[in-house]
Amino acid sequence: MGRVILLLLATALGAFIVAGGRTGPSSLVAQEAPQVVTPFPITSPAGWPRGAIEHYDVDGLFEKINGKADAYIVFDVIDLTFAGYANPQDPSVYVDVYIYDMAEPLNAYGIYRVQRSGQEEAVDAGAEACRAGSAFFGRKGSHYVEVVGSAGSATTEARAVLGAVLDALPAAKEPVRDPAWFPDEGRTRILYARTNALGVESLGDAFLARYADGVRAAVARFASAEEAEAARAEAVETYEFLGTPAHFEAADKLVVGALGSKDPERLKALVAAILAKIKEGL
Amino acid sequence: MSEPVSRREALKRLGATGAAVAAVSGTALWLHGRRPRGAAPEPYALPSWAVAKPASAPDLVVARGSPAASLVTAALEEMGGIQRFVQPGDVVLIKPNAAFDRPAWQGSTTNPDVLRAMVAACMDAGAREVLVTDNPIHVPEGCFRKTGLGKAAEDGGGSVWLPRKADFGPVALPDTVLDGWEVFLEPLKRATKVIGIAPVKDHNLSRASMTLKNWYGLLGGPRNRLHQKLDETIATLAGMVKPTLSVLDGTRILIRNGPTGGSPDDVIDGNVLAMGTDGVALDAFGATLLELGVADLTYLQMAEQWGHGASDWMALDTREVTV
Repeated sequence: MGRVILLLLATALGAFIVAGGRTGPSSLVAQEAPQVVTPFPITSPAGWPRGAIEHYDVDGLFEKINGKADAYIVFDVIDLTFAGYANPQDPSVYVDVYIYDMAEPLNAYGIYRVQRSGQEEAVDAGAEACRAGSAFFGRKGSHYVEVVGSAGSATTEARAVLGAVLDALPAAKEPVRDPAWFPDEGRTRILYARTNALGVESLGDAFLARYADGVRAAVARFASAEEAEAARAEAVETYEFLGTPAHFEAADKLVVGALGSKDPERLKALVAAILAKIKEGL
Repeated sequence: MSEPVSRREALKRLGATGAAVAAVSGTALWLHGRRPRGAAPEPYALPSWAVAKPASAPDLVVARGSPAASLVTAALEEMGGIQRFVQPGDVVLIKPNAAFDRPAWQGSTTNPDVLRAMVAACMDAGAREVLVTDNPIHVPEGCFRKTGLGKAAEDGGGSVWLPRKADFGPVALPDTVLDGWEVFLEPLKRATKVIGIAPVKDHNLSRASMTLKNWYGLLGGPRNRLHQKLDETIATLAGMVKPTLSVLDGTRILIRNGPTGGSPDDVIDGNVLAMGTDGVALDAFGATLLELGVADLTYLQMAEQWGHGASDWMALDTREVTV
């Protein structure tokens, strides 16, 4: 009995020393998250086996995406879950899947939109999704998804994996859609900003529109009319100080603003048009 | 079935077992976390790997065209030939950007074709060995595999040095943010020549990532903490590493969503490659490829103020070649 105990202790000692001296980069590898129910299929639709699932919380996000982490942190990212699928016949052909839990559908909308160039091809994947080359992007509920095919030969599989992942993710009760406030003519993009819309720190929770002539507009939302008026005043003061043409108006709990044109009338007219559309929708 | 044990014998065995537990635990605690000889390693002062510049040689060469490998060949030739930098018997350390486990088309890492050509050139010059290394935060093996940089290094005749904990040690950089910081020292100690090859990238925090930011990959430790002082850190790196040669790989340019990118729409064909020994000058040139100026890059202004290079690359002996 005593020998058995000593043997166990010796084994424990060995394991302790090995663990203490474990110094290779493998110690940096994220641990598989056993408790996390993931939307990753065990194999890709073509049967490519899934690699280890890696999980990164907000503090560990840097380990996987380095300086890009801050772009997600701005949108209150909770975590990233990652898995890859490699072609067993040629492991240099693979599909990598990044699923970001952005906490709120609005944040997923924001990070999805800010990373798009506007040149992507829309993909019918049961949720907002698009494609550029062998890379696919989607959002569903509070999740933002990137599926990256290693090369053109991985494109079909990347598309299939995107569909499988989006199907498995929970939908939002009220999906975020583009607001109808911004006039269509010349509009190139709609974005969402948590803070600092149009370069004004207090303009947060804002939808933004960009126009082909360089004009940018924003509709920022506030908890009260008083807060909205204070933010409008700050925005006006900021741009008067900078000497840059801009126009801001408050309407109840909203602030509507525009800049990016030397013609004040263009900015004023755009703000008026946005306000009119908002009133139409009320 | 075991024999019944007397109370005296039981106490004796219990005592022996307790003593064994104490001895083993004590030994384990003594061994665990023990530093050899009990002393912290001395901070290491990195040497300069720069070579003398012939009077007739240019400071900076910009090669334009394609394919990427031809740009390396043409730029080296205009710089005075690889023999200006690498002599027979040299151990050459090449530091590409292999920071992410992502495919090369994303433009977040060095173009493998550029690396392959540079490794081959060094081997042709008679290098004893060409070591290719980087310290990606995340799974170095995966980074070198997925970027294609591992294969490119081997195809060119070099070998990949993956980081191990034992390769790191503190660096001596008095009065800087990096003094005493853990650096990937072992390959640097072994190298007689050091060459950096950095892609041209947008960067979420520093606005740009080029030749100077590339040395960030030599840092160990909790380097994400340095992101709070990123500009200062990059400027310090400009003084920490005095390479034999720096290569700015603009064959693909990540123009937005850096430093990782993710979409082909984030990348444009730059079809340009620049070489020189002044990282500040190279980055100042590279800024133009991202439609930025020196005034947009705080780290570049700091590096110049600290005497680590000259941002006015057009005032240098800069030559252009077209492939």
